Amino acid sequence: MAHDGVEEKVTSIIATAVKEMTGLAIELTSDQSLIDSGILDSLSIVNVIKCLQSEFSIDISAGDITLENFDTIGSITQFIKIRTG
Amino acid sequence: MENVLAQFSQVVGKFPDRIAITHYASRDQKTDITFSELDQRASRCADYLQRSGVHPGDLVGVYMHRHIEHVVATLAILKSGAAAYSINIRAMVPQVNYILGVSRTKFLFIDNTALLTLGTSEEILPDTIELVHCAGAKMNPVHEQLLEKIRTSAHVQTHPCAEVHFPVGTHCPVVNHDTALVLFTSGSTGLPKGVMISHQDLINRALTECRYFSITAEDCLLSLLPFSFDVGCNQMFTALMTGARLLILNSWLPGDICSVINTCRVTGISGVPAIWTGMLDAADESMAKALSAVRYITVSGGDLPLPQLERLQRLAGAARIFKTYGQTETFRSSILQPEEYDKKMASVGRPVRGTEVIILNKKGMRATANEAGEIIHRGDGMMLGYLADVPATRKKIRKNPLRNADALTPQFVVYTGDIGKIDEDGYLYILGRKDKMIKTSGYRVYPREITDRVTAYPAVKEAVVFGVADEKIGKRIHCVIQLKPEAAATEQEIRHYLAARLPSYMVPAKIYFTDSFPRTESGKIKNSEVEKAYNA
Repeated sequence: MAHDGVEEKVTSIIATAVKEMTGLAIELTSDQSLIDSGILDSLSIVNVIKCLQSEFSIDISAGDITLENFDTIGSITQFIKIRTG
Repeated sequence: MENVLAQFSQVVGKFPDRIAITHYASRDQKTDITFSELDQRASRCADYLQRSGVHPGDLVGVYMHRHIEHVVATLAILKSGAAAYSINIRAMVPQVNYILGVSRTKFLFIDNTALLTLGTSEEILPDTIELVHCAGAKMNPVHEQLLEKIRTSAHVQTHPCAEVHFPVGTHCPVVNHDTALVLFTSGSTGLPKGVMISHQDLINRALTECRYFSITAEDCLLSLLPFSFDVGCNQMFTALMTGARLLILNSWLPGDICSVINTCRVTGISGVPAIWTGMLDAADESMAKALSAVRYITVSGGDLPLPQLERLQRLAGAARIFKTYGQTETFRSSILQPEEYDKKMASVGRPVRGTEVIILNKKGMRATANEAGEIIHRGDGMMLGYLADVPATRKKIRKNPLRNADALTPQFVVYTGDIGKIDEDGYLYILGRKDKMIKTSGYRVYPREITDRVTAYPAVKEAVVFGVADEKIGKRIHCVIQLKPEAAATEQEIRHYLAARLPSYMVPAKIYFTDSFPRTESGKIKNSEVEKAYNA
């Protein structure tokens, strides 16, 4: 599967989620921490996961949901690229 | 005289090169600071504050996410002679402004996350505020831009702590009954109230936990809770006072918590029910193994339903579980110790040393065993009062009603507003909030009596119960339920289950289902919001 546009799609999902959950309309860089910085709480990340699963047709198990994979747009993109092969 | 700063100085002298704090951002990204480094940075920053005109008695705020700089700033404020408070990083500008106003704050420490909120809001801060920006390592172009934007309407000092090398002067004397901290309660209704804590009480609160949890310099305490929340804040001070390492993790994801326990050898975790229910949802063998390696864990800031507490006990294996009860205004009122679990699991234990818990019945007398009434707290842990709110303080702190009115020295107690009972062995049970009592068909019902039954149903994760006005019976009982992930149940099934276990007047007239509950920053369900949403 081609990986074109993965980062753009991820960015748009995350920006929407951040806007919805915090009311913040901020420009997100690919290295901006989301969970560790306190922007998103780790409970609300569950909604983001649901969006990512349906957008990229992948299964994300509880064990995958960690700071390493989900703290930045960069790491989420990387994770999805590996999953989608 | 003892205070947290003096204790911290002793620890610095004893263990200068030990790691005081580790901030765990991910498996490959950790930052450490030693006790001597922490002390020096805080002292330099305190000097900066003093030179900038901070006086003893002032209030200085910290609006940052939980990382090392947050602890540096808090210590610096105390060293400068001022009192410190934290604003939860998820607070928005109107809340921040309210707190700045009520506390007459002149200096506010901020970090990059705060820039994101302050820089994108249409509201601006009062121009009397001096912002002290501690960037931390990562400053990206967006932060730079927002910082510039904020500078157009506010005064911003950039990181004074790390670079400036003032000779470190002598700091202010600490007076025991002066305010050391203000904790803003994330009230489920209305505006936040500032709970003022004295130096004396701050150390008492910390010592209580040090004693009960046997915290020593060999411990590594996992910090999961906001420093703006009494439990998270107190844990930070227990670590600083004993020489234990504080391990900061800004994630409640079970995968992260387990990974940190395993890699950093965590010995103690202070948790709230939302953390433990999240862990239980993802429970597996590796989690059981990780938790068993922890010496103690706490269930604080709310009660875990019994079936979940039992599951947690099985999951945590060798870890000792402490269940605590208290309010920001009283800190710890009671603690249920691990060895008491088998007999008194439904209780919140017995009063902590140095405090008395009284149940006041409807007649204003001390209740008999198992008689319900308002919980009154007396002794250690009592706040000084609410910041700039005398009427609210007078309502919360009153003269001890059981003491002879002619006594020469008046004695004050905290009216918790919680309803509870004490059994014949002295164990305290919480029934609910006084203002949440439901009068239905002539009976007095506390939501807790029903939610305990509802959450015992296997498919139910959490439940909220409230009363809805009814002409005939006073209040009808309604219940909102969140099911466990991938579990199913119908209203009828749950009603049948409850009908077999509760008197008919307690069985909810209506049951709703929800995907998630609105929560406070410490993970507590916002009952009033739920009630409003389903009562419309």
